[in-house]
Amino acid sequence: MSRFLLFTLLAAFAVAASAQDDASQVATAALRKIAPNAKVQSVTQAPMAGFYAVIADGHPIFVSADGKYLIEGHVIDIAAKRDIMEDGLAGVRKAALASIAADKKVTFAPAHPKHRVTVFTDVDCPYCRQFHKQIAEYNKLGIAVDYVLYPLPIHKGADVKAVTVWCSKNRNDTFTAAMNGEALPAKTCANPISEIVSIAEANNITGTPAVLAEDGTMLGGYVAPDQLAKRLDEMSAPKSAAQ
Amino acid sequence: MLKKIISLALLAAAMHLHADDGEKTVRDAMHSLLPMSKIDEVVKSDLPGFYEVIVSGQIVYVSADGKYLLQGNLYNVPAKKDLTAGRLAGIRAQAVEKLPASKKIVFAPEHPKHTVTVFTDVDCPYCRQFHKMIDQFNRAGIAVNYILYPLDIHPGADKKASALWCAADRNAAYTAAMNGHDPGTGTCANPVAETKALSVSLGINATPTILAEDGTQVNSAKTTSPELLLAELDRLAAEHAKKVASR
Repeated sequence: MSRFLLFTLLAAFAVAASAQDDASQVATAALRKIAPNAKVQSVTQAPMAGFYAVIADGHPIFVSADGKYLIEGHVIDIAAKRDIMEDGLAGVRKAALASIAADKKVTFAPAHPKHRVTVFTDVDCPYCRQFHKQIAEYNKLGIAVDYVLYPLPIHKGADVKAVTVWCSKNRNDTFTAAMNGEALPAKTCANPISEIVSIAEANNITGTPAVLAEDGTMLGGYVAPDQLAKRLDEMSAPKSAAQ
Repeated sequence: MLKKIISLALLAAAMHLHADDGEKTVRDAMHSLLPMSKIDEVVKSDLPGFYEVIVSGQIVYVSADGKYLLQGNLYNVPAKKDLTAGRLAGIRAQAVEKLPASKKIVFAPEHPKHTVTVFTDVDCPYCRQFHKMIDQFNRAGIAVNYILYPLDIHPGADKKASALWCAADRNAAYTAAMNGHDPGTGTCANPVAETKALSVSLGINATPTILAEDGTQVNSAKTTSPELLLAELDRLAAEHAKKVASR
C-alpha cells in the first residue's frame, strides 16, 4: 500500500471518528440543556439513523443527532419486542458491578456455579427475604448469588441492620438470621454500605431486590429459582440456537 | 392552467395517500405490539419521522416505518419544552371540560380566580387531607371540582362514592365521608362508573390527581396549603398565558 493511500485512509478514519465525537457532544450538550446536572455515563449511536442513545444517571435518554429533540424513556424495537436502550443500560450497570470488589459482597455460591447474579438486597424488604428463603434452591440450580447490602431510606433502621450483618464474625449466617427476622444486637465497623448505596443511586437502581446478570442485564425484582435458572440458561445459550 | 391544477390535485392526493400510509403503518405496528390497545388518535409528531399516538390516555411515538416505539417525555431542546406533558395537559383539560358540572362535586367561592379539578377517592388519605382545607382553598379564590375516582385498591370505595353521590346534600355527604363517616349504602343513578372510566382513559392512576385549568398536573407538594396552591396556580396561569400569546 502506498504511503499516500495509507495516509488518506487514516485521515478518513480520523474524520469519521471526530464526526462521531461531535455528534455525541451535541447529544450531551442537548441533555445538559434540559438536565444541567446529569452525569453522562455512555453515548452510542442508536440503531436508527439520526439518533443517539445516551445513558445518564442510569436513565435511558434518546437524542436526535441535531440536538433538537430528546426523549427520556424507552425505545421499543416493535418487531423484536425489546427495549433497545437496555443494551446501553446493561453496559453501564456491568461497569457499576465491576466497581464493587468481591470482598464487598456477601456471597452464597455452589461448588461449581453455572451462573452468577448480583442481588441488591435490603434486610427489611419482604421480597428480599422471600428470595433468600430459597437461597439453597438458587445454589442447587447452579446460580451463585452475590448480595450487596443496599438498605433503602424508606426502611428506617435497615442501614443499622446492614452494618450489623457486615460487621459480624460470620457474615453469611448473620445475613440469613437477619433475613429470618431475628433481632440482632447492633454492631459497627468499617463497611462498604454507603459506597454501595451511592453506586446504586448513580445507576438508578431504586428498589430491592434488584437481580442483575453478569452482563448488567436487569433480571428483576424477585424472580423464582426455576424462572431465574431458565432465564440465565437462555441468556447464555448461543445466539443461533436461540433464534 | 387546467393541466397544472389537475397535476397539483393529483400530487396533493398522492401526498395525502402517502400520509395515510404512514398512519396505517403506525396503527398496524401498535396493533402488533399491543393487540388489545385502543388507539384514540394518530397524528404527525414534531419529532421528524415519527407519529404521535394517543392510546389509553398515554402518549407514545412510533416511527413512520412502524419499526420503533418511543415511550417517555419528548422535549424540544432549544425551547426547553416538554412537548408530551403539554399535549397530555391539553387532552386532559379538554376531557375535564367536556364532563358537565352535574357529574362533578363542586366546592366554589362566588368569584373564583382559579379552578382545579381533583380526581378523588373517599378512602385515600391524601384526598382527605386536601379536603380538610376546602374552606381555605375557596376563601383563597380557588374553586375545586371533584371527580369521583374510587380506586380498585380500596375495596368498597366505589359503593361509598355512589352512596355519597345519592345523598340529599351531596357536598355535605362528601365532606362527612372525607371526615371518616360511613356514607352508607344509598343508591341511585350516578356517574361514578363513568367518571372512573374517564379517569382510567386519561391515564390517571392515583388520587388525588390535581389538574390546573390548562390540564397541567399540579405537583402534590404545592397543594399542602392554600398559599402554596394559589401561588402555583398563579404561576401556571402566567405560563399558560405566555404560551398562548406566543402561538
